[in-house]
Amino acid sequence: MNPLAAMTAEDPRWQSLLAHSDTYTCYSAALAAWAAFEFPAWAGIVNSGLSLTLVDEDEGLFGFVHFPSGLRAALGLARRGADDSGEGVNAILEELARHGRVIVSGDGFALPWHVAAGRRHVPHWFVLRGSPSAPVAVDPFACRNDLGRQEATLQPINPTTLASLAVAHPGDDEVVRLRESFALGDDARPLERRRFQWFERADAEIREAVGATGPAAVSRLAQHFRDHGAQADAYRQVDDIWSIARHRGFLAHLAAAQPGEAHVEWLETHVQPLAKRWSHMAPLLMQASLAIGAGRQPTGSVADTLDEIAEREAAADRACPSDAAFLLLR
Amino acid sequence: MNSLPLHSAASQTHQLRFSEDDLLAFADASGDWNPLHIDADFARGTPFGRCVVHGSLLTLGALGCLPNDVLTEVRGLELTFGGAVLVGEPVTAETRYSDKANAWEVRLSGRGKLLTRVVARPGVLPGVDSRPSDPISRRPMRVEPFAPELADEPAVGDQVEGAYGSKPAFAEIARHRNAGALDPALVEALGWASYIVGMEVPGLHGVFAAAKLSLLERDPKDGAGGYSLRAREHDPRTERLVADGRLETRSGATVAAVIECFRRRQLPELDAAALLPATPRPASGRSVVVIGGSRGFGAAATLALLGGGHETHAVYSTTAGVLGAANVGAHEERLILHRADAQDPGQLTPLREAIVERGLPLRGIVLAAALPPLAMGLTAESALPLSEYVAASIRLVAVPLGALMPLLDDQGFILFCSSSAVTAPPRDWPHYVAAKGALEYLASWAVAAAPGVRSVVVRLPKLATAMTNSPSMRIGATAPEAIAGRLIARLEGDDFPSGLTILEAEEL
Repeated sequence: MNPLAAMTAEDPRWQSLLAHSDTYTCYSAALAAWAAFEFPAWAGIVNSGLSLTLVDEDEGLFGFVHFPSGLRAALGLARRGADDSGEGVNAILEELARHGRVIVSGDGFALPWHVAAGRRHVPHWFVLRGSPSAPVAVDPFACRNDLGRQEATLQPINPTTLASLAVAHPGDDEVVRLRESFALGDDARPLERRRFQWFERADAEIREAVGATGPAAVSRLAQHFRDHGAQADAYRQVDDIWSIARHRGFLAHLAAAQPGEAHVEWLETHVQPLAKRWSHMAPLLMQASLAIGAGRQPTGSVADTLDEIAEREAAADRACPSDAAFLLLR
Repeated sequence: MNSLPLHSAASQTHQLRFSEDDLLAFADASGDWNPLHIDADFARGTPFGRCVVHGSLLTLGALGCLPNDVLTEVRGLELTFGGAVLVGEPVTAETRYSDKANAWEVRLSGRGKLLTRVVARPGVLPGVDSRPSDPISRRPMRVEPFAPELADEPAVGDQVEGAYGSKPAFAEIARHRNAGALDPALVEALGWASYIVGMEVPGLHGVFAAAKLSLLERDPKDGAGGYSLRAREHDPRTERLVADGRLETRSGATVAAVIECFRRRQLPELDAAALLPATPRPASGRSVVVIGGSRGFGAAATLALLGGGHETHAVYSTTAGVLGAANVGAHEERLILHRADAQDPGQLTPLREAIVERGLPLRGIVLAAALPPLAMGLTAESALPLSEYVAASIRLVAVPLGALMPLLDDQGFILFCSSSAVTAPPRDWPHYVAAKGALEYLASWAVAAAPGVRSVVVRLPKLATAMTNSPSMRIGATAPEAIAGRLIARLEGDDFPSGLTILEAEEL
């Protein structure tokens, strides 16, 4: 297949990407769109299983590591950057010419198809696919947030608009910097603050992220909210917790699509209830932070629920049948 | 006059249950984010003990038991919520048609009690035709419940206005509950009524009691997506509030409403200073354990024991509450907090280890943990939840007793917190009385198992705690501080001989 050929809405790879739209983060959506052009089993790459590493940082912040550390090396992705728009756009188009696709680390504020367009700066990764003269934005991410509904998008891009479309998030927020640093499963710090950022296919040096892992990482989060849950600052990384819920949702979705019977009980008893419980975290976190804003003491439900989830994560891991172990990256 | 389709005159029954997911979806779609429905820890601090299903969600579930051709004809709804339905709790819906009243009625029962009654009528409800003449403002919807101060009493004539719009998912919930044939304006009004009570009036401490909703013709000059509400009655003794309201729905019709609700009073915080001397007394050289030590009588007993110079281990299930450092001050060193579910033997192991490791003899055990006694009737069906309540209550006593009795010193005491309800059983508490009876027999057994031990059963009067903080239950309730102070002083003064002592409420 011609790697520079544009993707259409009828393309089965786009259809397969759309099947998981409501379970991606914008990072996993970009990885999925990027991988789908090369790996028939791309969903297995984007699936993080029950993986989670939590890196303790200063000022009560954490690095959230959703993917295993070898992912970036396996894919061969290296972050590049430029401040000059001509240099940045040219480099992005050159990568497109070489490999037919490129991940752009952008800003929802600048993307016309993004729900935050012109309203809020939010980091957002998307894939450009096709030839330098006729790129197509491939963005299968969908969600609903306080700004409205973000829909999956497949749309041609005029290359002359890339100077405004491909601009990166300002990166002036430590929460965003941490998210970007650990987005591909390794500790990619220090990140340079460049006006244009993208990922090229190249050998990447990997430094493993070190922190609490698996259920212990969830328990660490619970402890964080037990100790600091009465302070507004404790809730700065709620989007990262929402991302965990999305990853578990993806696992449940993927497991449900697997043929065979042996893993069905595990799916129904462990994975689906776990994903559901994670999905409860967003409203609980929102209510807790609103309560603080209104001068009210939040309850212990955020910490209690995370403790319960930690137990569920451990139980799901223990109960995984051998025929489904590949879903957990073991 | 319109009439509702009759179908079979025979009544039908259906089983309903509402999950945590159902409540979260309803909160999101209706805008009623009151934590009583979605926050388990908040709910534990109320008389309900667990998250309560939104009244309007119950109503949709009840209406879903009626045939579609009945629902399409409905123009008026009367809802009465006689008791809370808890998340996950099964309820039985019984439908019947009254020819005389020309109305369908759905009754939801659970725990042996009638919990909800929904009457669906084909015409406008008499007395529900509110048309306030003031223009309706469009203050945005709240995302955090209104939380008035204690002194902020609502007054008759107070008016609230604002914008309201349920999300499209709300209609989806109605369809999921088989109530999609109901007029969309009434569906939206159910979401609005829930939002009003949970978020606006009274807001955070609100409890939905009843509503009448009546579909009116739209006045062309009315806008859509706004409401007004005016307080008609307010009883400061019970905090009962009745308000007339009007919603201009986004689906094109006006709904007039009468909404009745209660405001749960906020309990005054336990007076730690009344139980703790400003300067700590010399150490007693003994340790004590209080199970259920962060709330109500247990918290008061913890403070009184700390004040007596004991190293005090307080076991609590969720939050330490009044036992925070700010309240115990200089006594903090002798207070050891253990977060554990006392029903779970494994979770008490660290407590045992801590007592042994610290090396002080264990002088006493206070068994103060109890489950909230939601009203219950005794029927063949409710016998199961009744027995589950009794079993869980026994575990709350027996598990710590089994774990800690072997550590108790020879003249040690065990304080079993029973209730005056044992001698004067309230009609709606068969489960509570049975549980406290079982606790008292465990006290008798403890004497046989450890003859030197002082086993004291205290039949506490009704105390002003989170468990009794409802309009009817708080009447005549006593503050726990004074009782705990006197009781602990008597225990320390060796006022009770070894063996079994039963203390009635009037002896305290």
